[in-house]
Amino acid sequence: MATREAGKKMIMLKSPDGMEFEVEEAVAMESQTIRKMIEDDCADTAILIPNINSKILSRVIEYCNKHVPTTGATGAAASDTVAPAALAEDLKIWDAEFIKVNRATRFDLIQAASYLNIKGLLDLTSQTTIDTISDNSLEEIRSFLSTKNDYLPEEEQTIRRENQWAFQ
Amino acid sequence: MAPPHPAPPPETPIFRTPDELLHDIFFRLPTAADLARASAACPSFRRLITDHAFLRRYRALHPPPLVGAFDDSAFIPAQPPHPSAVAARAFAGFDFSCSSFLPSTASLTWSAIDFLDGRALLDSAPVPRERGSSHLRGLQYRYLSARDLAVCDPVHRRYILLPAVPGHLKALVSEPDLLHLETFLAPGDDEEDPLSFRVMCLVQCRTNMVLLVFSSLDGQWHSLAFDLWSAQAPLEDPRDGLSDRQFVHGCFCWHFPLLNKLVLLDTRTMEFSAVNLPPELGWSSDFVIVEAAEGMLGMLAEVYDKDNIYDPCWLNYSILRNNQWHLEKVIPLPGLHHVVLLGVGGGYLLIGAMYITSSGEEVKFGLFSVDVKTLQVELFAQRSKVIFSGRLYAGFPPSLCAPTI
Repeated sequence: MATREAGKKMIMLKSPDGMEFEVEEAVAMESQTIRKMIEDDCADTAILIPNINSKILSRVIEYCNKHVPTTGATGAAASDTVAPAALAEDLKIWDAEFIKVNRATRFDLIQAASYLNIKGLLDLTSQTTIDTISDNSLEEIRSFLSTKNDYLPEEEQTIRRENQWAFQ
Repeated sequence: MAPPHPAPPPETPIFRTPDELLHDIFFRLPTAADLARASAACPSFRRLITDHAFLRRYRALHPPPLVGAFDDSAFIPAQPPHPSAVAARAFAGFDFSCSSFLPSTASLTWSAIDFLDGRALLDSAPVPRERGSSHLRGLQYRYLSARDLAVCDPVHRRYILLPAVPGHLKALVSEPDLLHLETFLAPGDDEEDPLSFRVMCLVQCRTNMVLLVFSSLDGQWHSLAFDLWSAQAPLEDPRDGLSDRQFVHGCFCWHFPLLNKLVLLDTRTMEFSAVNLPPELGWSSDFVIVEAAEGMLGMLAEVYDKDNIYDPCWLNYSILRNNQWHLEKVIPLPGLHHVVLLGVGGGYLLIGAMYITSSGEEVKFGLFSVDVKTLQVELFAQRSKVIFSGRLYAGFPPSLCAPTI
């Protein structure tokens, strides 16, 4: 098993459309899936990330870059110098901007976060969908999720009646 | 379509299908109302949400809320602004009785005696019911012998009639010694099987107790004898025996006033154990056991000034740590009088009380809920008369219930 080294060991991530991304090992290891590959010595030169295109993979790396715990040269956490509350607040604002994407991209991000096992990103992307369902009217939910209302008219009536209690 | 291939080892990351990802998202929805709203969005969401396997897993992750209580047979739903009121609205006009689909005869009527996990336990007997005022041994014994029991799914209108308790098990109970009989639903033997359930019948006699257990897995009655007070004198008064059954952390627990203990039955191992109660709790004290954090037991006990029943009372919240009850918090119940603890369900203790409105001198009756996690007290429902007993009902709205039988 590879031991974790201090300093900036780099890892190459490849998307199926041929793009290569060189990232710090610590950043890549935000993904539990990649962490496991590295720890099991399955990642010699480059890691191919199947089914995640370069556009989405670059966004995922952007997220991991922002969220990787900052470490100093000695490997000790450097967050002693920055107030944790301020750091968390900064991340929250950054996340809110990051997730302002269309539905298709958000769904791709959910897919990628699930495959790469990045809990923070999965929570962020899923929670956006959850908030929409919790706070909005049926029409707003449909419009936000870009789901088509393809209920038949009589079906729609039944569904509305059956779920009326949840919309008052 | 991909060709079929052997399932990958569990730790291998796999791409989840859009349906699986949506299921993952729906699992995060906090309330049943959110699920209902999502299911109304489009047919594919509805198909995913009403999938029985999904609903069962959702229920395991999000225990159903307390939506109301039965006062005799009338259902009292949660009223706004209580958080449970939204889910309770879905039960408007719902028929809990089950008698419309159970087989009936002219002389027998079915009556619900317990609810648990979306199932109802009903009995039908030609003799007075066990929860009635009668402690007459002969009647109770005949009741053990002669009644019918049915377990129903009130939403999907399904039922299972239980076989009679076989003679060799009834022989464990001697009629002259019989003090009390209590029948209730329990989770199934097989945690993996959502359709499995048990029915338990606790028979308390003067010198021993017998637990009769029906399991849906083999369709048979079994017995479990246990000895709690062999060194003590025989029980003479049913009020000294096990009472006030509750279900916490997978265990049934009873108050045992004779020894001032709490008796626990772990439904997974079917082993009995006992813990001491605080010495100041006599048999007259009203208290309930609730689930505290990290699998610990909590207790909410009613305390009031015995000299003046009109003085406000309060609840003491204690936690059992290292076999000792530690008082954690005192919860005031301002303005509440004649407080009765009705039971615990769906994350709340429900209490019945009389109160005087802050605006005038008007006297009202109501049900109040105490959140067992936050210990917050809220008005649950207003009533026109005082309530001394009631069975709590926790459940998801009918459209979001998978069959339980």
